[in-house]
Amino acid sequence: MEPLTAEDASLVQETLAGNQTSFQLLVERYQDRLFALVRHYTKDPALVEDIVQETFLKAFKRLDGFQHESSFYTWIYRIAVNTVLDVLKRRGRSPVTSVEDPEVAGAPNAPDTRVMAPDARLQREEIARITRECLAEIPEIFRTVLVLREFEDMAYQDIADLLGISIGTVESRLFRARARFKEKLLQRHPEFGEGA
Amino acid sequence: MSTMECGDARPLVPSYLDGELTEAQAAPLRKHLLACQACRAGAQADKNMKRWFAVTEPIAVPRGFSGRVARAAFAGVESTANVLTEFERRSPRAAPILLGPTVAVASSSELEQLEIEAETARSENGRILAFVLRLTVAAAVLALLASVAIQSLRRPSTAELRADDRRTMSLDQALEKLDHLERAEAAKPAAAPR
Repeated sequence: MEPLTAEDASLVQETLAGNQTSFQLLVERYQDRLFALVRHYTKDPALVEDIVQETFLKAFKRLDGFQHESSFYTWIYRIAVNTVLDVLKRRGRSPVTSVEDPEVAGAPNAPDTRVMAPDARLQREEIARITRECLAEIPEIFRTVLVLREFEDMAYQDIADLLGISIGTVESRLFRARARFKEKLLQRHPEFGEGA
Repeated sequence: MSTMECGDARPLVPSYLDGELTEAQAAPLRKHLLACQACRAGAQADKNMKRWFAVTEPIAVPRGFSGRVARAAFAGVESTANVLTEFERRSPRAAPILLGPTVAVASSSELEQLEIEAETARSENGRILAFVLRLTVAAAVLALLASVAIQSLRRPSTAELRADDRRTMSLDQALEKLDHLERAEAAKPAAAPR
């Protein structure tokens, strides 16, 4: 978990004192990371923008409750993840698909398929596009842990705290998420299977 | 010889690659991986898959986003739905700034400048809108005046509409003229009988 920086602490205090520019600077500091996070959940740029904006507005309203125990980013990140899941839920895409659902949870017993690393000849944009497309096909309950772990480099304990689940559940979901990702990747691009 | 069995080693590999194992857990696993080619290949495959997540696409943050959010926050806007107008979404000046590993990140002062430009654009658009409105009103007034003028030109005069047309002769004049014609007829020599 990232520590609270002195600059963030100062900006938070100034915002609470009524300084709009300080809040704008806080937004500027974290807007690109939140856009990157939210983009993993929807391809609609307008919706991404709305969700990030709603995240910052919620953070502003709750700013006096910010305890300075974690970094500002960890704090606002939690708000962002919950906002994403809330919005997707409101839009009819349930993010809390049960892991007990055999259809969803069936992946762990899937054959041990292996994928190759991205071909060195692929452009960065192409790799990112393939990854995004495969991620989009994974149930949100698994996608969230995969995004938090792989893109945000979060520790299992932080993911568990953020989502309110146990470390064992994080490990289990990550395992399933990776299996699903491999499955989707090989469905779309069999050429990346080992021995292909 | 490895003391860890493959069945114990494989489930630990993802946590090992994620850096989640303690040294006490990681040491025997490393030893096993060095000794077991099959498990090492499996670990390498897991490592390969993680490389699919090592690249991210550039991030598109709309221009003036931070300023709008800060204004909305201090204005007490409850919902994001009202914060961005359709115009702001579609305005070319609201085009995204590309941020990412390969693109330079706009500095705070640059963003401030962009925000000022956005404000200017909004006020310019307001002036244009007012001008168009005034022009429309003027055109409507001119059209009304022209319509009135055309109608008055084509309208028949009062005299034309009168039932007793004053241009026709009066009864006295007609009788007098008839009398005159009769006298003239009488003054002519009588025609010879056949």
